[in-house]
Amino acid sequence: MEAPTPVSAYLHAATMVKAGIYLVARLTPLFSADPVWSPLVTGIGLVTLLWGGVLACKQTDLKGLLANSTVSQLGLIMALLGVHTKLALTAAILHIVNHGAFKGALFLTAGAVDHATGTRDLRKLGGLYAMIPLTAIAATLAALSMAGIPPLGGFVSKELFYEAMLEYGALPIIISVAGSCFTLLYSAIFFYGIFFGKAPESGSEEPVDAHGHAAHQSGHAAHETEFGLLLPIMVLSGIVVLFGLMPGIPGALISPAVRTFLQGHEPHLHLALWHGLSPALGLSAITVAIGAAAFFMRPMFLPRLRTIQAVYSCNRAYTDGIAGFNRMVLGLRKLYMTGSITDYIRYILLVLLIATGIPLGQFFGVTAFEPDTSSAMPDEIGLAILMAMGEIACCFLQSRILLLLALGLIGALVSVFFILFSAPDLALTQIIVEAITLVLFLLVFRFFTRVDPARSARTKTPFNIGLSVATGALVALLLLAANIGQLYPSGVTPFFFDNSYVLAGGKNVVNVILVDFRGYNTTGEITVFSVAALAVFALAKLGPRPAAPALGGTVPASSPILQAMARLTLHLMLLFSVYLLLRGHNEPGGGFIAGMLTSLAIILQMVAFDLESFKKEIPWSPLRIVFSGLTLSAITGTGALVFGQPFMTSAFGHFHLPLLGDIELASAMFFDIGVYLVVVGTTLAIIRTIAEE
Amino acid sequence: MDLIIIGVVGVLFSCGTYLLLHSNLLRIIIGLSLFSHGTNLALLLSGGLKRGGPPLLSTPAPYTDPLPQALVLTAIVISFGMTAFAVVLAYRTKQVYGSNEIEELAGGEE
Repeated sequence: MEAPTPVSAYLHAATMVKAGIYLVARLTPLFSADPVWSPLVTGIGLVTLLWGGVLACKQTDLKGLLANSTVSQLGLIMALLGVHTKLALTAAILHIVNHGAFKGALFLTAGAVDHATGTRDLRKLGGLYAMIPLTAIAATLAALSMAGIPPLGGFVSKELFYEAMLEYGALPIIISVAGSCFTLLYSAIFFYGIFFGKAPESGSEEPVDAHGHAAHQSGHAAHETEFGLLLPIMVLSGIVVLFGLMPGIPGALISPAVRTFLQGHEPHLHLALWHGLSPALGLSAITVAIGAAAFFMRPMFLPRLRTIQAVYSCNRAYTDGIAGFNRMVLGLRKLYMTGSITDYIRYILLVLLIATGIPLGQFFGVTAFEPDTSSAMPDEIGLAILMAMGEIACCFLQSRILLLLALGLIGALVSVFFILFSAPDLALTQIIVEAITLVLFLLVFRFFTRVDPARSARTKTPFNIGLSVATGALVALLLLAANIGQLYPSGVTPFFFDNSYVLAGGKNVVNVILVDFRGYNTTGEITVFSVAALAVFALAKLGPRPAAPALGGTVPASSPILQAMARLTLHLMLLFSVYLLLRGHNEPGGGFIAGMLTSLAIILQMVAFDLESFKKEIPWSPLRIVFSGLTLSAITGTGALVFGQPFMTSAFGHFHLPLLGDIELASAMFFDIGVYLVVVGTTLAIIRTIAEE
Repeated sequence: MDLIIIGVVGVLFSCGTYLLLHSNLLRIIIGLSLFSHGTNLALLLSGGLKRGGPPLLSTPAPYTDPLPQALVLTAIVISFGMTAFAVVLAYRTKQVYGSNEIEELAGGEE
């Protein structure tokens, strides 16, 4: 609306605002079968027609009036598209053309008036007929066309509009007539306010004039519109008259569009000025009567209308709505964003329970479950009970040291389970990891604050306990639903059995999977593991330091018995770890286990003696060990590329070593040594970093 | 047997969750360890418990499924790395902020 008037004329009368109409029209064949479509589009159209008309009447700026009238007229077209009968579609397209003609003329008139007088304020205009008679006649014709007065183009389409609405229903026709009354009212306000009536007296300058310059009274002499400005208005007004007198011309213009709409059906194109004494004509008469009456009574309500709407505008409702929504969201956020991580964990668990629990419940209704109940031995049941007790003790123990011991117990029991379930590699790994974890916890033990009984009591609420039990139950039910005990043999497992020895030369299938078949995976895993070492190192060494001297004092010397034992066992443990490493390919063992055992041996030295002797034992930086391990694994993997094999392809042969027996020397062995080095280095890096603190 | 292990896994997850809801970092870390144990046991369960000996070709068939074992083996090592990291994180938290109760560590709005 801020554009120069000719641009406004082009945009608002013809092209830009019609783009939405075009879209709706284009989609009408697609959606019109939907029962929601027609009431929705017609409803919005009619409301827009009425409300736009009301808004247009309250405007004092000429272009503002025209812009709102465009809104109203587009509502009319929209309503017709919603009705989407043959008649309505014809009327809609006809009105697009008619609207383009009369609204173009009216926008240009607004420009010409502005040019002639220097103002577009309706309150300052009046009586311009005397000064610019040609413009006045042309504009009045266009405005009458908009109002739907015969014999102009607007009348033809308005008649069709009424006819279409008459077929549609009672309420729509009432709204249509009301909207058209407003159309008539603002059309009259437009042309009468500019050209007829009396010009405001020179003395009565409205102080509300935003531009400040005294309009046409002061020096800016009004004059007839120049020819260049007048011509387009005349042409458009001529079209308006022509379309009214000879409706066949616009009919011919729009018939291709209508035919597209109707998809081949012959369009309804009996356009005529005179339809006989039809109900539509009657409605037109009513419209003219009410509209004219309103026009003459306008001093009674127009000023009040202008003030009322300043309070209850849609813009205001929108802004208030947004503000209210913001307040609501903020309030809602305060309600649940408590800043407590524990609360957030509760939310996550609740969502997990609901989102997983509901489908799970439905699932159990459908599928039968067949667990293997046959072979529960008393010792296994005893183990399970012991373990459950350890777990529950973990929850309720107050003492930190007992807590750690309970954790150690659980870890040990898990490894017993691993033995029972024919997983020797896992049992070995688990038991060593458990020992190292315990040492780790003990090293930083004194930094953990004592568990505050009051806090524990606060955690021990029925809600928390219920949530925990429900989570555990959910996991158990998921396992049941997955029929997890019945999955074996999985599809890929026979491949490992068939090829473990043939392709990779190893008899310990678990180890072969780790270092050969899934070697790529393991490379990633040891990388992640070494990143943990780096992260621990960075976390402990970098960042702010506490100002106070950290934990001075002397560490009490450990017992001589422990020292003697440690010295005695060191080499045995190291030797055993080498043994585990070498035999890993065929028997339980391998890089992971051997690495953990080596670390444990060194850590034992550290605990028994002190950090200095530890550093003496291992002169290299643990991180350096990690990276040599990673490099070795990578080189082994890429070594295959040199021989034209894919990455990680292994080669192997057999050697006989005294004492150790038949040694399988596969290239995977070097990969395993890499794993070994990474595990040793990482574990030592972690422990040493903490110990140094 | 399956049912027993499923029960053990369920208890592990229950207790792990309960510990996770604690405010003390030590307990939270232990809760995470219990989760790891539970997951490992569940994975192993999918290999068919006690249907055969260890998957060593030097011993007579039948064997249990080696694939879950390989998965669990790496999982054990990784969860050790994670525990170590969490422990050091808790230790540093105590050192820098003077507490390892997460309620006291809860940040402001910013």
